[in-house]
Amino acid sequence: MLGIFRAFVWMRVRVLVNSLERTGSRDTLERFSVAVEKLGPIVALVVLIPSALVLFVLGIATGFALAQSTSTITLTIVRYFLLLVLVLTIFGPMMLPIRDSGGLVRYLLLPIPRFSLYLAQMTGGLADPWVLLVIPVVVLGIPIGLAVGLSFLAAAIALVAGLAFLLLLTGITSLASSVIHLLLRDRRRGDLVMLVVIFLLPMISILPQLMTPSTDRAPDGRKLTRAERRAQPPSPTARAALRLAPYVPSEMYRRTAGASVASPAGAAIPLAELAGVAFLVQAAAFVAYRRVLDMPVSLSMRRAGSFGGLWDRIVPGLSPAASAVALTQLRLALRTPRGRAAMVTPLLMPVFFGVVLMRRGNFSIPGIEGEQGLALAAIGAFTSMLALLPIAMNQFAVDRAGFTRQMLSPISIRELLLGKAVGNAMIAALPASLAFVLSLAIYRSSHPLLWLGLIFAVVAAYALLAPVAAALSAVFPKTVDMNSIGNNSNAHQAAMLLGMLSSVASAVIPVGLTFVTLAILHRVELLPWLLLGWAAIAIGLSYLLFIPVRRLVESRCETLAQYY
Amino acid sequence: MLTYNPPCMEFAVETHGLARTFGAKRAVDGIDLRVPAGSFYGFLGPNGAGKSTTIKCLTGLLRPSSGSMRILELDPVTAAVEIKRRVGVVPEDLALFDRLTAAETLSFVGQVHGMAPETFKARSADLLSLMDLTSASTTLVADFSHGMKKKLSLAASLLPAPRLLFLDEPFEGIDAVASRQIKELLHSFVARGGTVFLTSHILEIVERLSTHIGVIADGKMVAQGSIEEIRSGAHGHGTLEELFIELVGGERAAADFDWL
Repeated sequence: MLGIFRAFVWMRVRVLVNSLERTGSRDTLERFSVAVEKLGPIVALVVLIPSALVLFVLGIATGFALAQSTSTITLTIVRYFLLLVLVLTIFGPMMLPIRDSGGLVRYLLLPIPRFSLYLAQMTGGLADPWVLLVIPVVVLGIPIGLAVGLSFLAAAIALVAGLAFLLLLTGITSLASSVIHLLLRDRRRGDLVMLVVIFLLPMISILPQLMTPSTDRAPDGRKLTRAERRAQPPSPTARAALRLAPYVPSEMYRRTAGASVASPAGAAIPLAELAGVAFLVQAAAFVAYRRVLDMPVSLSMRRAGSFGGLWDRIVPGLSPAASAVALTQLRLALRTPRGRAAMVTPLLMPVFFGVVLMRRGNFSIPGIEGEQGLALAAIGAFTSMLALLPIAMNQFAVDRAGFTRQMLSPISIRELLLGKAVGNAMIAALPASLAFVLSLAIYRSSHPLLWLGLIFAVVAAYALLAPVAAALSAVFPKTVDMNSIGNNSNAHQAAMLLGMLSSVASAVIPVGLTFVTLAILHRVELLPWLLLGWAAIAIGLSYLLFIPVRRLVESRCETLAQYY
Repeated sequence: MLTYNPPCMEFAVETHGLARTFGAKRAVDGIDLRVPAGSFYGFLGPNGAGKSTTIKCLTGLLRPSSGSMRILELDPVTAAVEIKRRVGVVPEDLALFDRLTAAETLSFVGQVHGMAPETFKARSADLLSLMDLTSASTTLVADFSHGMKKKLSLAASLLPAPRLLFLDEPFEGIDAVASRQIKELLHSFVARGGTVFLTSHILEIVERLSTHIGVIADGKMVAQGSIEEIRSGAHGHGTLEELFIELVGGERAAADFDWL
């Protein structure tokens, strides 16, 4: 058994070291790109060490305070930290890439018992940084602090509770990974699950807003004072949360640690509950892992609709080759969870802001009071551009081996860039248009020309963003898995950061023109024409910017064809 | 406007001192290829000899470090897109979009070649039928087996009716029935004046199909010509396998592990 663990540890360390050492880069630009990519994990590792030290000290202080029965403010901090860790442990595996089933197949070929494989996988969960950070607090810090305060029995109880909590976390990680693997093993079902997750995660932040009645206003519409708001009874959501709280594992740990000094016997009940939950989760995780091992790879096949020959059509204004590139880019978005996320999540932001607007009812844009619909449509358009970034900022590498197909085809770089720009525009245009139409349908507008102005503003912003996106995609390519919705499907972090800044910069002039026209000149009727003029200038600038970008992409094609 | 006149063409592929280096490693070391137009050219070499790198240079996926090339009498530097119109490639990685179906992949190829929809649809149906992929035509490529992907990549290379085919290990992972049909198809392609440039480790196939052979080892050409010419040059009268081993210096003592 020890030999197996040693082999697994060696393999993980070797994989990590090799990923840092052997870049296989071909030129200086690629070496720079790879170095920037590695910078994130290295910085995270560097930050992890002081964080662990701080948490260790926090643990000792908490343990000592508990032993002395003095202030428990540190225990409150630990309580919320553990709750946060618990949430990250549950949602973390959803955001991480799907585990390599090829690795599982290889393990199955080795003479390793399934239970040992499970233990190796389960202990692998300790490598998640949030789980790792729990150790200095609950396994080391608090028991040491209690022991220093001469509460040895309490220290032993806290140590057992800490280990049980850690066992629970690794069990949850293992269970969540296996369940996700089982759900995604069938690719059709996997796509559906990912789509639900895409909706579910943002809705978690919106739902309480939707379900809880407003506490800001009295029934007569008068705004409540702070004291009046505090005097109100808790909402049904808050009451439900209070009822569930004792059953949350982090609360079980807090109760155990809290009672360990004053009443060791009283600590036995929450400790037994915590240990019981940890055992049940581990048992469920083992059963799920066995199911994964029974059939680690997908056998299903997905079919795609022809949409009445839509994909065979040529986008007006484009050459057949550029059109084929554009429609292929759109299909990539429609057929991958990450692509769908780019098209669905922008709709949630206007919904969220719409709910907030309805509940507060006091939002207005200076100069065009009562045009909340326009503001929502603008938010929808801007978030559509932001949601596009993971695809647009890695527009060549997202094709994986398909990029080589394009390089082997009689497509000029100009056609390739044009096709990509139009394809990305179509991806962003779908949610932006929907947000636009819905906002227009829900809210009345007394300035129809302003809506036209918004279209001009969005066109201008995208025209400037498109060449920047192509350039950043060429300089910072990254191999991605668009089936994942976490970091594994994100563009290169440097490209994402610069892309986000570029998106904001591209909106500065339209926003500035809007501000000057409405707030200073008070000439609403001028705005659409000014924005139309700016859109024309932006398209001209975009054309000029694409000239050096074309040369850049041409010089980088050889490297880009390796990202699959 | 570039002109193209196949009947006068002597070599479909011609290189002079073609080289490609990766850092200190010379993957392709100044090779002079002569692939006669209308020939079936088998390009052989041991693993890591530089076959795939050579194909990547010839198909424009890699820039040569030095040397010159002419493909179908056109210069790849000035007429890259024009060459791609006339050349079909099955590369090492198969170059397929994961999220397109088989039919859509062929439609993509047809569109970028500027073919009329009815033409590429009719040809797609023929090719999918030949490759036994008709029932999987609406399945995403991501769900294909390796053999199915290889057949689809081959279909994609044939769809625009190229004059020159670069095939990197086209028969690896393909079932016997499809393999036989593909061989017949390639034979008739060459008979109609097309040129095939093929790499394969299956020497029996190369011996049966090829009219000409080039052998590369450590990035250098060690032999080139018709099979008969190479046989006479290498003093060998045996099979292609024996000839190949003689050329690349692969004679080693048979392994005898007493622990096995």
